[in-house]
Amino acid sequence: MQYNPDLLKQYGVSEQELELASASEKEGIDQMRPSVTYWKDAFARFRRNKLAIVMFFLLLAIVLLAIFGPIVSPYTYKQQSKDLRQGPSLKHLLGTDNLGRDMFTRLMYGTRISLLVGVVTMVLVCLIGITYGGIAAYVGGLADNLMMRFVDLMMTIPSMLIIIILSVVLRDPMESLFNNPRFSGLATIGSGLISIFLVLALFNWLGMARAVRASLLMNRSQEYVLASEAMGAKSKWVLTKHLLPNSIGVIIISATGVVPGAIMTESFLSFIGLGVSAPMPSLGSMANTALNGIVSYPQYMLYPALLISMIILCFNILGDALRDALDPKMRK
Amino acid sequence: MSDTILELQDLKTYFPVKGSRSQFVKAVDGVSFKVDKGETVGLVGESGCGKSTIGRTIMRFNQPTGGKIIFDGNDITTGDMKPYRQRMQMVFQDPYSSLDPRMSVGDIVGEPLDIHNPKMNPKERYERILEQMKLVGLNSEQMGRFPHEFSGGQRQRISIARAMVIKPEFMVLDEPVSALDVSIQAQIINMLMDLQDQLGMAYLFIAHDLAVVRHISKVVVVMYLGHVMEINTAADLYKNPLHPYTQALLSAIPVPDPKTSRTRKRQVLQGDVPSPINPPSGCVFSTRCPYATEACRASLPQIESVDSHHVVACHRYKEING
Repeated sequence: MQYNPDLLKQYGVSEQELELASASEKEGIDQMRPSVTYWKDAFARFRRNKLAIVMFFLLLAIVLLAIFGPIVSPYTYKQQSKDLRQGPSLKHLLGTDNLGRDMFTRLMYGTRISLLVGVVTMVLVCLIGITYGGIAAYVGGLADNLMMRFVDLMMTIPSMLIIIILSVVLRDPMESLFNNPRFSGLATIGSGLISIFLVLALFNWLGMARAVRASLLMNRSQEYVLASEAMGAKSKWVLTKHLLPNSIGVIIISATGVVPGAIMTESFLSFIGLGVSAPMPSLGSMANTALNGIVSYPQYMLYPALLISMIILCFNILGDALRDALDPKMRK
Repeated sequence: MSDTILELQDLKTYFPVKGSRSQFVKAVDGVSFKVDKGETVGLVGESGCGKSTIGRTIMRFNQPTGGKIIFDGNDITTGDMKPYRQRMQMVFQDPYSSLDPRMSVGDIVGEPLDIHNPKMNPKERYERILEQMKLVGLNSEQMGRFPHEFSGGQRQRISIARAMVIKPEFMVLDEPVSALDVSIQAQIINMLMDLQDQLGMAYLFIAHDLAVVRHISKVVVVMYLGHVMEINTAADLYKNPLHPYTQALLSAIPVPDPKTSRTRKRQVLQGDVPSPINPPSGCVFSTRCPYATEACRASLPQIESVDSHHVVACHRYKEING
């Protein structure tokens, strides 16, 4: 056995005096973990959550299929063949629908729409909600009071009703906007979709604004903020180093909570015929078309419904897992 | 150069009462005392007497309503605190809410360095943090850990390390040990005293525990309802309390010997601390003072010097102790 002579000297012991550590003493040594950064630590905690890992890869598969599937697929969402209502085969993996269109390709397009709605709504909600909640918490006083009463007021409005009305009302102005050559780029996304983004963002930012404001105010009153100010920190430092990092869990939870809600609403709107315009499929509109033949051809309902459920489940579980992972108190 | 690092002159901090424009909570109402360089002044009083408000007003978390705060010869009552933030620091009472749960201990201790010296090279920063952590009895392995992994006493050590890492000349210690076990209290107090010997900071030690204050302070300020009752050196105050309030406080300290405990006269105060919104007229202590007379209720007693290091604010201290 080799000993470090410097260490021996430092502790004032000779080589003969040393003895092997007992099992219980070794246990103490094992507990001395290497120092890790906040994000590394969060990632390690996330990785330990088996269910979340499964969901992560499932969602990743769905996302990749939705993005690249339509490019690889030999069919397009509106391309018809003479084989109507085919069962699954090598030619059509999940068969064809009542108009002879490839089911698998249409599902991938539909998922694309659903995910797009979810993500765009989430981004819009984060932008509006964090800004609004942040301003209310920062300014405080009367302005905060008025801003939050406005949120309360918005929350009392039956959102589904307004969303339906708005998507009907917004249709025509959107159409004419897209006919304007200056906005021709937007037309590729489709006017129905844009108005869905708008109405969904309009009614989903309320929860985010409230959560962000509450979290900022709560953290604002903690003594570590005061300590930071005692060191001479400016409000920008306090905001970026203390308030926002401590609110990130709340933001992530609210944001991942928005996604399934938005996908749900979009599916519903498409289901009642207010969403994306045919022949562009969305999971909701596909379920709608399947309704007519649900007894004879239940698989047409099953596929989109299953996909909607899976996407929503993935987002919900991942949101929970992220919240747990981002909280250092959860470390075992 | 004077030997005084901090001086309060007739400091007043009032808070407006919600829903009223004319009423104020007079948390601190005309307090004057000095803290000498490298020494500890203990500030004691019951809950709600304004001790913490004084600490917070010195740090300018609250704007003083009147009077002056003089730090090392500079008036810091108003105006920019930036030049002084490095020179005075504060340790808070609650070791749980005073550390950011999202930051590692190394980053917490390093935060003052990051604020004042963002361009410090990482190696130097690391060494400063490590040096400070060793001073408060923590090791390098603990730098990467998060606050929730530590006990209350260790957290308070982290708080102290954070406050000291920029080498302040003056520190407000706002009940730094009252949330801790008695055995841990002693460790922290002794550590604070050792650090003072090594680094030469002055402390304003706020506490409600006279025994703790006696151990650490050179001078003790006794407060009641926003007013100073008595100021004396720690050694003398405990032997020779002149103000009836100080006497009552001292008689409330438990004595470990049951014999002495049985024979000694305990002076129990009647009633509660009056509201600082409507303080009693005259001497604020008159409603609970066993010796109060009409004269006490009529006029506020002036601070009188008994000798060079001893002042008392009582109309009748000579008769009572005569």
